[in-house]
Amino acid sequence: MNKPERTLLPAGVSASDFEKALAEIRAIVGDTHVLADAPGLAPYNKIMMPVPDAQHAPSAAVTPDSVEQVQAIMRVLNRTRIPVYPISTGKNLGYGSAAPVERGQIVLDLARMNRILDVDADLCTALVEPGVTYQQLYDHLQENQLPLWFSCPAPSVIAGPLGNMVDRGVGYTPYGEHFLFSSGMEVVLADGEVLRTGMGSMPNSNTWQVFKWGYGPTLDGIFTQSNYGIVTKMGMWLMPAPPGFRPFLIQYPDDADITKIVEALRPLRIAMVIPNAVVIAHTLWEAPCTKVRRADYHDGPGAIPDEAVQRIRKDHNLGAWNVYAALYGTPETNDANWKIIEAVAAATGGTLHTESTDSGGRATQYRFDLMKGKPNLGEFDLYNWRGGGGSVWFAPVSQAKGSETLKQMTMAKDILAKYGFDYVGEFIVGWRDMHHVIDLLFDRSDAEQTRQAYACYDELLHTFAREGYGVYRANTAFAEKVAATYGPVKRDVERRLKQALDPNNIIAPGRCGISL
Amino acid sequence: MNRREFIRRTGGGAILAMPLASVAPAALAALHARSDAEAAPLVLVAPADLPTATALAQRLAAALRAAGLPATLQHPDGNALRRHDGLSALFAQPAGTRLLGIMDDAAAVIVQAVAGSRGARMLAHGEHRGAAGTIRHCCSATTHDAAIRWREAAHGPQPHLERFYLAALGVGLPAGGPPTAAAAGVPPGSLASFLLQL
Repeated sequence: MNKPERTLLPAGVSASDFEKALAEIRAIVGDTHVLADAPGLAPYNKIMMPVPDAQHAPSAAVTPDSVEQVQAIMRVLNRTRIPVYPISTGKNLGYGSAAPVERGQIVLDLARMNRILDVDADLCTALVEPGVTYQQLYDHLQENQLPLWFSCPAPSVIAGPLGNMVDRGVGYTPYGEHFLFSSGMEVVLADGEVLRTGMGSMPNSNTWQVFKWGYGPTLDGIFTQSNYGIVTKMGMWLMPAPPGFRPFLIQYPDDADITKIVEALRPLRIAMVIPNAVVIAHTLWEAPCTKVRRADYHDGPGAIPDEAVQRIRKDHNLGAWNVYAALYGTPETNDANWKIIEAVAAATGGTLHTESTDSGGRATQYRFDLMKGKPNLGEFDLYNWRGGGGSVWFAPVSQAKGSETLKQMTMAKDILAKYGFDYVGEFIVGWRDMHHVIDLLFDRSDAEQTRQAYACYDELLHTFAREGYGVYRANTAFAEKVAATYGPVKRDVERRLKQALDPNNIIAPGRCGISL
Repeated sequence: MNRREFIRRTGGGAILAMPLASVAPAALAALHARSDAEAAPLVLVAPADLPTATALAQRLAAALRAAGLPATLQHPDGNALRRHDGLSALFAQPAGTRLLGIMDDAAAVIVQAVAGSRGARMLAHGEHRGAAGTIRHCCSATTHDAAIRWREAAHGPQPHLERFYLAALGVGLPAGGPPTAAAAGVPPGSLASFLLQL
């Protein structure tokens, strides 16, 4: 076999040292599980961000299938000081996908570690490896006729719970704050040592998945949105399938309605009358997922005009805002709470739709499925809106107050329009906060549009930061800039932790702006 | 094929200026031996409910046939490419099968993501945007760093796309060009294409 010419190396690593390390890793995982040729690596370099692929190109990819192999690999890399970028399923699309945060890092792809290690139907818990997908977990529960649900994000068929939790992703059932509903992690540290958090550190404990805290400082949080270790197992809580599930949609006609929507729904959310995250999706989030083609309404340069958005609403029966939530409980409690929902919709001028009254739009169906933890790929139709494979999420957090939402929406829409992009956004109402999620969609095959998308994200980030709005999650291309918005003291502490846990700076240096 | 060799075979930096006809097949090919290329099955996938994609797939299929690379055409329902079972069916092919997909952007993102999870090798991909009577193509082969871009009239496309994917498969366009001169172009909107090996 011809040895490929090594054209890409991690910074500061010689070709001979790199080859020696790869040879050691091949001995650990086997030849077929080390990829270093261009076609084999290309899937790890498939990004949607507005930066060149080369900026995030890996030097190799390794696919271990056990924690012991991960430990052995880390010992090699720690000794040779070669940086590694761990991924679970690598489907963090719009946030960086599977590509390393910095060029030349070796991708440590944990997709082969895809075992569902335990599901306890009595305690409603699960223990999973990084490669387990939500679809796999869903199928497992169905095949074993276990009346348990979980919360999943939009790309759930192909994404997995461990990676989503580690990135502090969210979902749409009452268990939608995924880190909150995790319980116990197994983490391989840079030197190959294995840590089990919480009760997992205690020999013979059977409470790892039921009591998150253990004794002393709670460490789980430092392994999320960080690079202090490689999470190889995660405990998660599952939700008993409720006897009654009643999803609904309330549509509102005007952009300004967002203020009264949030004011009306926040008390219901805090009191847990509505126990899941309420999604308030704008017209242009709904449109592509309802098979509306942008080119039919606006095919010129620049952002789609408001007049065209109005026509889309009229033609396709979409609201300016489309509120999705659900009731979970017994039929009796749901009946009682339904009266509250009807009253809120009537008082705020919304049009209420249920599963039986909805006209069967695709967007509604995928939303209703997500709210019962049924994986699907319905939201991917967003990528047809502009076409060209460019997508980057801008996700600032705000208080769950109406005045905040209208202010954020106006700020975002103005900045997007300045660069020729559409406002494709939604608000996700948490218990007291809101994630304002905007998909900056652009044509990545158009060099100028890609440059504009980068500049647009940059302006969004810094304009929102000046107003005190930080993002809850960010793509890898902007990790450093986002981290900088949170101030120097936090970053200094993060660096000190990095120094203590990974002094050779080999685990994903640069991830979330953390590096030595 | 490394970058230096690619540049040598294409006559220096001429690739960015096209014409694409100057690109030697070996320069883009990730599969180097023609015998390998001929042996592995080749499947062309275009959603049945996307006429522009099926038309483009027919155009490519004709060129592949003429070049001695017969392809099996598959036209799944577009919704199947957004369902777990539909995707599983698409990937139920023998190892080594080349999959040439032409579909909407959303389906292309999904299929390529799933293929990557299954260990597929990515050989090439492209974007095809139609607007105001012209089609803008942007294609990339894994073995070459720079994207190849060109524009053509929607009503009279040149066989550049055929040439690109044939080159990515390691073969050239037969003498006389493709058997069909011009097929339907891309209307306002966009399509994505990709070539991967399972």
